[in-house]
Amino acid sequence: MRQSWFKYFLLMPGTLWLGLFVAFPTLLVFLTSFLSRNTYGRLLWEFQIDTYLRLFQWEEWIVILRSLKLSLEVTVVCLITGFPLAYYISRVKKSIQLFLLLLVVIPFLTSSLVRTYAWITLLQKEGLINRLLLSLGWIEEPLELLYNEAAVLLGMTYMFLPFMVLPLYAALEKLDTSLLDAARDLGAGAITVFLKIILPMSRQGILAGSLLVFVPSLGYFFIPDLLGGNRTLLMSNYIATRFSQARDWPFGATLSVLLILLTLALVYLFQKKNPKDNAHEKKV
Amino acid sequence: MSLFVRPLRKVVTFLFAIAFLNFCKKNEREVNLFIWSEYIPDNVIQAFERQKNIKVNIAYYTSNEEMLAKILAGSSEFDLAVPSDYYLPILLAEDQLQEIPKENLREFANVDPYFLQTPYDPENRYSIPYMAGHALIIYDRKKTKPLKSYRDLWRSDLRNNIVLLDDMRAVIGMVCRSLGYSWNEKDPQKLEKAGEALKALMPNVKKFDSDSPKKLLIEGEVAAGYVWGAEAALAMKERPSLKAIIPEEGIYLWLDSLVLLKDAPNPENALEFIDYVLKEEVALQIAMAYPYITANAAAKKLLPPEIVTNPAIYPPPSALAKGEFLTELGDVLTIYDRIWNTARR
Repeated sequence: MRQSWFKYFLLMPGTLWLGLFVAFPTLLVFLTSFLSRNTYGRLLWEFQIDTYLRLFQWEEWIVILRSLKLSLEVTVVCLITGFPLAYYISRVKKSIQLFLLLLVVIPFLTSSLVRTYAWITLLQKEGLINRLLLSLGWIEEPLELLYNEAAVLLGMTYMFLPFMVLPLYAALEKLDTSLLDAARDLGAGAITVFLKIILPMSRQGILAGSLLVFVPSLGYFFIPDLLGGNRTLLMSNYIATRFSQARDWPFGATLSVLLILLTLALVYLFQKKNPKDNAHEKKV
Repeated sequence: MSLFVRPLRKVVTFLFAIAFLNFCKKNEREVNLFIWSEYIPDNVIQAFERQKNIKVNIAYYTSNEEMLAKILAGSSEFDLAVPSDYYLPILLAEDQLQEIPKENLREFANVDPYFLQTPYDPENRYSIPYMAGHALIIYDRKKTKPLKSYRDLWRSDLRNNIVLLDDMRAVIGMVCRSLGYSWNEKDPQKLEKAGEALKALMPNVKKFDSDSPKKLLIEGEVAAGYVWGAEAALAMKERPSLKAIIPEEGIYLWLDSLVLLKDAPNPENALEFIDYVLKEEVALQIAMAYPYITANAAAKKLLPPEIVTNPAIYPPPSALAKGEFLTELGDVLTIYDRIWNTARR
């Protein structure tokens, strides 16, 4: 009896925290999406669902689909570049592993905004890369490296790579190397080993990493703004301007609700694919 | 248990001490100012506090929307705010302002008559002009032929080579002006045409940037831009090949004014503050600190000639005569928002 009381007592701070800072604000967003507004953007206590009907217009979906496409691209590029890195880290000596992981995490010690500006310094027309290539005589005219989609993809990949590498490493580190030896002994080539053994056994890491990259990249707007030139709308800056210049909080909230639902759907799919994804149970 | 109680006792004592100090503070005179960041020098604030024995509490904002949202949220703690021109009608419509008794302002005569009688507060019952500015065209002489008008921004040799302000009203107003319409165009058909013109301009735009468009100009990333005068002034200092021009079609001006909020807790102190910044020597200090147009005629006379003759900071009188202010558009804003978003889809 005493023990169960204590259990709830221990749960209290976390529950309070989540309730106050996650559940309550989310509820406010839901509420706002159903309210009306006046010309100046003040919210009125009148129920409406017009903002939800607007979601059925094709032009709103152009923005949503473009955001989804960008996030998908970022996830795929992170996966392709992150997998070999994570695999390599998981194969070297333990002491070196720790050092390499530290290198992966170190960029987090600096503000992401500062790191994005560093990319501008590198990529701009009179920036380091262009000046180097010009002085080497490899190019005649400076290259347009900044303010295009490739720059956005590069910046986003750079920002989210650690989120992919860490779960992948966790999955690959547990991989039993004797399985790989056994496969090779039975005559499997490198590609077969990769496809039949390594890939399936690191599926959880791949899914977790992809989710960790895909979901937050949907809401990132300062990298597209700074590296992309802010010329095309993405879901994130579209929502942000609904609250500011458009003075349309209800529609901004509606788009936020859509984003939350999309994210929840992804997490749900992830858990369905991973019915035994409960690391703590294994330990118990 | 005592392990927790002892530090707890200290915390409670500490909280009581803070509450007591707060109580004492209540008897101190103060004024709460809500203002743009980088808009009033620290030494002006300190001098005011010393001379008048009134403490100034400052909160900053970086956009009119942010200011409006915080005031509408019902934070009655502010006495003074400094909204831009077309946000004044909104604050008035939402009943957030109180009249400023101008007869109590000893220094009101210093205000430049050009900035009085604005379309949104013709008798200056609610607003005291503080600082103004404009947007203009700037180009790099080493990178492109001279530009003379907004129309020139559409030139095909400027492909992917201009920076525009990330400001819906400033850009759509400019597009309208280039077509011969008003900066505050409300005719839906004309706005549709402006929307098409904006779309046609997009291939030339490398970046939309309101925060620091000067960066792209200084770094040689773009050949031309439509930017704030202050940004142009700073960029020209860094890169001598840049040249700012007043476009043929005329400029639009913005004006930030001090307003007294309806629920101001310290209206008398707020008036003292307004009167203080209207003083000739104080306004001069402010005008020297930031590259904007001072709304204080007395201070402007004392400014060094190289500042007053710089068209990026002080547009020549002929340009001022043709200058327009932006006005509140009400529901037409929805059309602006649609044009703005369609061009970027």
